Amino acid sequence: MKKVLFFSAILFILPTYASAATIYVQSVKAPVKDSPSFSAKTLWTAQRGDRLNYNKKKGDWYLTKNGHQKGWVSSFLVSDQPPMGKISRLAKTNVSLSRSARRRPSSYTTAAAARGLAEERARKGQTRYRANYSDLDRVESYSFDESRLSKFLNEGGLQ
Amino acid sequence: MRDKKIYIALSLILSIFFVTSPIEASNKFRRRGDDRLQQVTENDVKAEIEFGKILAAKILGRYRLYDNKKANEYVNLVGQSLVRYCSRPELEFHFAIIDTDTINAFTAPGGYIFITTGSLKRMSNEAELAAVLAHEIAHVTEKHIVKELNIKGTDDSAVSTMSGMIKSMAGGGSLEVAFLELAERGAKMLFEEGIKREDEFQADRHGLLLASQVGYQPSALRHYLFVVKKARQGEKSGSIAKTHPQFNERIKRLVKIEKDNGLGSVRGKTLERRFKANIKI
Repeated sequence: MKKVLFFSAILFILPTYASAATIYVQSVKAPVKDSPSFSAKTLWTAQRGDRLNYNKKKGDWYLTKNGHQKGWVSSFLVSDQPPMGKISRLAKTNVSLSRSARRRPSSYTTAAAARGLAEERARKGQTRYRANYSDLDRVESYSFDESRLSKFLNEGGLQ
Repeated sequence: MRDKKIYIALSLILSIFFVTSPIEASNKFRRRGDDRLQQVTENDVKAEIEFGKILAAKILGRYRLYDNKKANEYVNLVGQSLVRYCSRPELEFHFAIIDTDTINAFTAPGGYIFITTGSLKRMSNEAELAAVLAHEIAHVTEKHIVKELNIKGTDDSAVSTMSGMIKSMAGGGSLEVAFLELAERGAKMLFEEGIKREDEFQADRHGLLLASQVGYQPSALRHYLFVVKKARQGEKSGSIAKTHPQFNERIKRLVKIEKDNGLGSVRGKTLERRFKANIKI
């Protein structure tokens, strides 16, 4: 009886601790360290989109496993969802406000139209806080290719 | 004797289980909470970007864009260096300098980040610039404004702020008005009220870790806050003192984060010469 009770207790407890959760690398790369510290040795480097399992969290670090090797990855480089691809802003639609205004919005299309119209009204200055879209267009135009960014990182001795 | 050993072993196992299972249950509950918040759709992200664009335009309606291509490109390069390690690869981040002596930086959801010339004047190196930009990036990655205003891609959600606002408008309420009203609230939050105190602390934490990950000196944000603390007297409206928590508390917490993450002994890059070659304000 005592033995049955003993093994039942173990069987009851084990699943709680044996389960591992899944996380995905969101950053371009994620160093996995031999202890939960930035100054620790890097064991291996995971890449964006890599799926990792963890069964322990300590502060800002997850304990993950690669084959037989265990290591710590910083929690702010990962998430529990796979990384999304680049998402651009909405395409404007031609749904008229008069048609969509007095019914309960139930689709994303009407929501998109409303946002477009909200921007239009903001552009015309019909709000308390004035908007400046011409300068915003300039801000959105700042761009450079990956090779220039790589050069910038290398020159600064950055990761 | 053998029975006694079994009893002791059994008691120990059950004790460990009953002591740790509430912690595990609590952690699971938190994870469920996080999962709920992170169950975002592509439409949610598109709404966030759209909303952020309106808010960014309002920031530029209040403060003039600093007209210096070299300086703006440099700030973008530093910002994009950080973005590579951030947790929102789906967003296109934009960085720019706004021309005001006010010491502050502003963030709009979707990845729009602005730093003032007043802030740049008080910085002594690139690590400090990176630390401030990383703090602002963290506001975007942690969706502080998006969560506060409950911005969603679909508006028929029972919990959507936008949906609630439309319902409360007696006749004639429209989604366009609701969206615009939310943008006004967002602007008020940025310019007058500031982001929640706990969200600021979280942005400090994530920002410090992000900048350190890229290779910048971990103590840079702390050093910059110390300089700003001394300079803040005489600041006008819109200053960092008005929209951010007390400096002493922030500095104290940053010291602890550095210690907890083994950053105390890390010597990162400061890149003072490169900063001074690009920022001449």
